[in-house]
Amino acid sequence: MSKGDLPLGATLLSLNSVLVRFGGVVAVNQVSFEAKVGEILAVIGPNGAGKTTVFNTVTGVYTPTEGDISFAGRPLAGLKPHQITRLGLARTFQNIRLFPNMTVLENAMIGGDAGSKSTVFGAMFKTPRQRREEEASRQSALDALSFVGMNAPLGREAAGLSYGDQRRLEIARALATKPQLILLDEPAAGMNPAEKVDLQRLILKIRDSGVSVILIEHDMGLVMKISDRIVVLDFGKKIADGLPEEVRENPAVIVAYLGAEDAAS
Amino acid sequence: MSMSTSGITHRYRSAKAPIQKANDNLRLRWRNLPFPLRVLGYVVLIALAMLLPAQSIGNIMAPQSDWPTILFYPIGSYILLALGLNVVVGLAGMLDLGYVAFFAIGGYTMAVLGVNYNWSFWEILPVGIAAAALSGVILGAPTLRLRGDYLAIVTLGFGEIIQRVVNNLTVTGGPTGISGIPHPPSVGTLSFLTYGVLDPRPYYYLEVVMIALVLFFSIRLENSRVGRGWVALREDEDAAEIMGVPTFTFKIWAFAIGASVGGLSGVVYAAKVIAITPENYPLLLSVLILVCVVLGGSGNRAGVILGAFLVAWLPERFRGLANYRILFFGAMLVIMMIFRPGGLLPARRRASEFAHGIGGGQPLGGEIQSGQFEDDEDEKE
Repeated sequence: MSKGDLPLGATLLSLNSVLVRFGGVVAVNQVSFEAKVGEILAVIGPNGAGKTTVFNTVTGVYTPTEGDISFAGRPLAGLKPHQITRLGLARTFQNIRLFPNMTVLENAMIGGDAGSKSTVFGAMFKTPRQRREEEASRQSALDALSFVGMNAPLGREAAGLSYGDQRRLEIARALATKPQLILLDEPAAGMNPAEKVDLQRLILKIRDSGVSVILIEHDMGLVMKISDRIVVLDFGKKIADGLPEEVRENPAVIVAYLGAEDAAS
Repeated sequence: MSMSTSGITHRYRSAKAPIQKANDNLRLRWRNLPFPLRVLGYVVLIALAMLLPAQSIGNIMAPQSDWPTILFYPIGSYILLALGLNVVVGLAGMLDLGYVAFFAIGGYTMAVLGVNYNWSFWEILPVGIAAAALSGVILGAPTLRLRGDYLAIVTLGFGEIIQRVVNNLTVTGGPTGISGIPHPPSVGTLSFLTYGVLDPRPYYYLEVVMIALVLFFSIRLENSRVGRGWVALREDEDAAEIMGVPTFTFKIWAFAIGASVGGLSGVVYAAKVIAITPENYPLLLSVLILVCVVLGGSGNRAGVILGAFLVAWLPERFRGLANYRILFFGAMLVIMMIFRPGGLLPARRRASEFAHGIGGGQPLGGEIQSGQFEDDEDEKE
């Protein structure tokens, strides 16, 4: 599914001293980390640590106040979110943000359309390129839907889907853009244990298909099981970065999660 | 766009009205018909459109007016205008309150080029369309970063500006307007293709052709990446942008296409009426066309056509009620909106919005609530 040609383990996404300030609030403070090709990187931290702000900055929703971000060796500064998506960086949302009155297939095709270039004239005169791109978009949407195991009929409106299918559709929509890297923002939120097991399998399957994954997640069981590496944020700062077992033993992380008193006792 | 609720995950639900289901089924059955049968269907539709101006139909539809004249304006013109505005309001979800400006630009292009430069209708038509589209882009480029209410106010102002401009320029004849606008050249000697002063039917047929063309292209657009992108950005602009939809470019396109249809109907209108003045382009017309779209079913072409027909036809049908007809018309609109808030024929993609009031505008999640883009940079395409 990947269109990347970087070797396994090469740097795919790198944040270099990224600082995001909103008025007087520093939401992300001098954060640097890298995501490598073929890995699942988890970004964890207490509520308000700046995890989603990092995602929003990487995908171009916010412009970093300082620092820079590059993807596959290319700086992202000045690019619009849709341009960043077309480079091969897709995401899902913490609160599901499907297009509720569009069908399952249409939702996924919005992702598939990221590979199309023809616009108004192509559509009005049905140029050969437009037909080809339309077919390719439909195909990558269908591939992504079957990849995530969508159960619902293609013609059903997204608003009518079960919660689990809405989550799956969001991931399918992101995969239909044929990304090199997918950012999953709390995909397990609101899921029951059985759904979480399915999700865990799906995330591993995504990585094995050649798409690297960055995951924000509060479910530590899930994070520890599937992550190759973990970055820990607290109050906008990176406090740890390493293998799951290293991070688990890291005193700063324990303080951040349990509070200073508990750690001291 | 409002900053709604919180970070609590939404569960979308939908409920469908029975009429909506019937509408969907009809659409599906139509699509599954074999090709020759669909062609036959179109032929029947065209035949009906050709027969519509007949006197016997007119006796029922508009006993107090000249039926073929009404078919051209307001009915046909409103349908064209409503189909154009539907792209902007119904599909892309942007509220345009100054749509009459594009109708005026088309009309004055026809008048100025036809009277002062002796261009023929067919030469002016593409120019009028292009002029309207260009003014749509000029209006859109700086203002489409605005959302919701703000965009509505700016477009409202634009409609007023155009009317003031043509009222004050010498080239547009000021308040007296322009008269002596040429008719389209006649084709052969057939009566229904002879564009004269008395018979409105040739102009009505011309309009039918234009409506068919607009329908043809708008169906193609709607079933493409562009149409999907419009609906996506209407439902959730931020999510659409992040999923790769070039929202700014697509909004400009929606504006330009809507404007060009407005310009087209302006040219056709001016080519019939011989004289136009700024009073032909009041704010009320923008509002009425918006009523056509919303009443019929924003985003649904069949609904929009029905809405335009009713808005144009009802006041003419009830001319007998003299000054009260507008009052009755207004009351009917209010009642309609209470019982069918999605319009007479709601768009499939839109029906459930009205049932549960869901849609975009939620925060992106995380710490910052607004979910707005950094809008201070120019689009780099």
